[in-house]
Amino acid sequence: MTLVELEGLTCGYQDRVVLADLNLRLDEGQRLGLAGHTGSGKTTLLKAIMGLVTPTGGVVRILGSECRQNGDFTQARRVLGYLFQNSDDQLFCPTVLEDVAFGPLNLGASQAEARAVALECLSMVGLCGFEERLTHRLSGGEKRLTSLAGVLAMRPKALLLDEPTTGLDPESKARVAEVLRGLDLALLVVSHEWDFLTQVTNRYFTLSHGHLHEAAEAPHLHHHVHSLGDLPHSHD
Amino acid sequence: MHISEGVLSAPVLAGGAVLAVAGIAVGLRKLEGEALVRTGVLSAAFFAASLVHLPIGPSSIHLVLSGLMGAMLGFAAFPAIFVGLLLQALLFQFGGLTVLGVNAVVMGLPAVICGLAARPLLSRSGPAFAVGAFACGALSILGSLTLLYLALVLSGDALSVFAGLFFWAHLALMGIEGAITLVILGFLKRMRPELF
Amino acid sequence: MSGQCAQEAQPGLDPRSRLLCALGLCVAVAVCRSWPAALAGLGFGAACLALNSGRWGALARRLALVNVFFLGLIATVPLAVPGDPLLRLGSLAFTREGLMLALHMTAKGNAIFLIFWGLVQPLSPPRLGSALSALGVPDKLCLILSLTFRYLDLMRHEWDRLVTAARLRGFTPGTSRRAWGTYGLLLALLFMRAMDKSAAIHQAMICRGFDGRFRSLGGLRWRAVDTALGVAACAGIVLVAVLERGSA
Repeated sequence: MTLVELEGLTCGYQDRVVLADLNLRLDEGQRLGLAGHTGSGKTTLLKAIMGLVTPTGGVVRILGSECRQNGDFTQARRVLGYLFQNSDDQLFCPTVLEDVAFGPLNLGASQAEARAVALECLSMVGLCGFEERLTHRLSGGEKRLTSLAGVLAMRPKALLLDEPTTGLDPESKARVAEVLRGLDLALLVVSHEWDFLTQVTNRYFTLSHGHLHEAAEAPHLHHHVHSLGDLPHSHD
Repeated sequence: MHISEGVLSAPVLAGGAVLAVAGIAVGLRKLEGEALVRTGVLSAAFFAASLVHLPIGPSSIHLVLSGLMGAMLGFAAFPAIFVGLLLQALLFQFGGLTVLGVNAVVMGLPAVICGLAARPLLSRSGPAFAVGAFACGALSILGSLTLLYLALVLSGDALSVFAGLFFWAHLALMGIEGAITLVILGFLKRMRPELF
Repeated sequence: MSGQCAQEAQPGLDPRSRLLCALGLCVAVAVCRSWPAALAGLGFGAACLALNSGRWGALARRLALVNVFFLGLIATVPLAVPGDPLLRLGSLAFTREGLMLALHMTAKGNAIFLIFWGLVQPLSPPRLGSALSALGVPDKLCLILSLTFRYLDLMRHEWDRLVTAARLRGFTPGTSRRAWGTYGLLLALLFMRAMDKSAAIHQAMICRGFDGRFRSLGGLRWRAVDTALGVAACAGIVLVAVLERGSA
């Protein structure tokens, strides 16, 4: 089943073209990785899928139906979970449990149901005991995992993740990767860290000058993935 | 700028509470979607700004910035100010439950009136803008001081001396608030002309 | 990962009972006019302190701050009230009646402060928010309260970052026109970032099904102790009323 389909998507601001005639398909269970330099339009691509930026041309189809206006995306946003690059934008409730339960409550769950879903998702990301913690006092890694729990609580079919490792220490990165690997969901992961992409996805694209290119095989840096990542190190 | 507990008379407290409820209702009525979220986040920014000590001579002052809130938020400034006062009471115990209504009216009413009245001037440029921005900041302080004076005097003649002293002692704030409001609005207009 | 998270019950009093009892008692004390009622209020305040855990140092500091204001009243009210002069300053008389009135206000103010400290101060803002929501305060106001508390720390850090960045470029705080111009610029930047942030937050909320209505998670539990506190507060209010009538 095709979850997301982009056909000739074009986005731009004033005279600058960010995405040009871009095609992409995300099927159920697929795990796509998308790399590109800062400013290459990765975030714009994800926001266009979520209906947060209006494309200048092309078609966005979610679950086979075309989405044009804000209203069309309401249904789409129940299917797609979007993890923002900045966790502080996403964690807008004062406490962890309230934040994770925000989505289910909006989707019509009762207070008891929302609480149960929130607790379940917190256990999925390994944050038991954090329920009453204040979101603004969490560490960067805890914030990211709480945001992830909040997105998972919507029971999406696919996750769109925008730089899920930015600003995290290696330990938190590993935990995010572990949680993502354990999910039975389609993923579209945007990151500039190849190491991370190779851990959680299995098809790779690059975005440059508004165009998407599929890497025919695993990118060359793939040969160099190991626990030390991008830290300086030597080989015996 | 607020009144402590235990000073005002029952009719003044009740009147303040009723007016505050009305003000909040009006402020929330048209507040939807992004504007609602913006009110909450800006309210946090204004709260943070009011905690800043700014040096003035050998001492320092806190800014009120109620006129600026009125200019930026319009009617929504009233609930934003109310929430700020409520959090201030909870976190720092300044003001309290019974005077919350009076304090919200004292700060919020002039802020909303000055903010809305200044908008036509703020959309222009040059001296008209400067006059509007300065007056917005200065007059909302004058309005607050006047309302505070009235709240005290209406509670009993016993407070007249205190009310008078308080009024005159804080009058210089008008100039400071007017000036800083002018500077801030000037920068905001340059950086985001679409705001005004 | 780990096992299933368990739902833990919040210990202690329901925030609703704390808030309602504080409101009732504070209003009763605030409107009383007699000395016995004000003294009873001080008694309630002392009793309420049992419901706040420790923090005596912070209490002493706050109490001192509250009474600085009342020193101002004690100095001025006796000048405005006619009566038996204790002291004459030229044409001004510092009267006994005025002094008693100012002391009465001071007693009331302190009583209300103590009640607030005992009952409401222990509530965290999120707990206060859920109590307000459960008591029927409009969603929109609860959302503004929730966002204000959530982003207060972030905005304070943002301000610190802005000031640090300015200092690194040679900004010296002071009273000069230039320094205040810089403060104005930094404040404008703070408010602009807040507006940009609110746009991003709103997008994040939309992605999670926000339709303009803020729904509370609830989860408050009214227990027997809450009813007991309510009964005690009602008894206190009745006592104030009786004392008022007795001395009228």
